[in-house]
Amino acid sequence: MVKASVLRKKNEEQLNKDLEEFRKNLAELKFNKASASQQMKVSKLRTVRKDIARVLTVLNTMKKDEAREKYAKAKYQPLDLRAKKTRKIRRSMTKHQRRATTLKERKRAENFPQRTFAVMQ
Amino acid sequence: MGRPPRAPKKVYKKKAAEENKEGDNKAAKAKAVLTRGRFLKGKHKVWTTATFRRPKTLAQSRTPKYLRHSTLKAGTINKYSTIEYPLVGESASKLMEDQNTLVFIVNLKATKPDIKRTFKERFNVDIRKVNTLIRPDGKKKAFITLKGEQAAVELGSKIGII
Repeated sequence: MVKASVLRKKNEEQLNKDLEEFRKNLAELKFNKASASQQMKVSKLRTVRKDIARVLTVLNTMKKDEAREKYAKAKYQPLDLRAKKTRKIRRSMTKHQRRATTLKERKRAENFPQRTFAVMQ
Repeated sequence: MGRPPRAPKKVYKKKAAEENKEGDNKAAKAKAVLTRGRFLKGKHKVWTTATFRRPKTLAQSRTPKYLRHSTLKAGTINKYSTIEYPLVGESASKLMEDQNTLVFIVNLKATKPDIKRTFKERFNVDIRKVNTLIRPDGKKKAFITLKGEQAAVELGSKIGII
């Protein structure tokens, strides 16, 4: 069983090689299971499958991180790199848009603010 | 044949010109131009067929401002995913001995040329032909006939099918 922390230190090429190795391993195990000529540890199948999944996870997250760096300053980001939130939130106004006021409003607010008066006893 | 001979074209054209009387035509034309404008007579396209087909217009290729998917995910289809496992049993062993054929369960989406290629890569044997069928339980079965005498039995014992 490989550890993900070990895998993350490798580069893409090495990870692809590992992936190839694991897949070959898995294929052999499947053949052995089917031919049932020898007693085999069926639990091995599961560990190899999960190893493959681990390598793929590390590979894909690496690629995604690279993409994020690449498009960080782009005007339009790829859709899967944008904030997910919810569909509604994505379509609603931004904070800036909500707070926006016309020049006229601002001037009026500045020159004629809401006054509060108190009755002196 | 039965028709009377027609007069030559020259005669007809002359007749038409006489009938239209050039002078009148010119006046009429000038009047039309003055009332309706200069660009009267549009170029009339000649239709050579009875059907109207949509004319071909400019088709531009896409230049997207952003990608929809930033990365291509590492795929699940690889050279080990086409052939899944061999079938062992009485009928399979019979085929192996008599017909020089091995029987495998194969990925449902695998095609015969795919199977042939992956098999050759994996086991380094020459293949005569591949037959496939889909079992009632939804899996694809491939009958791989090898070239060379006893090649199936050899390969079978190497894999472990006996």
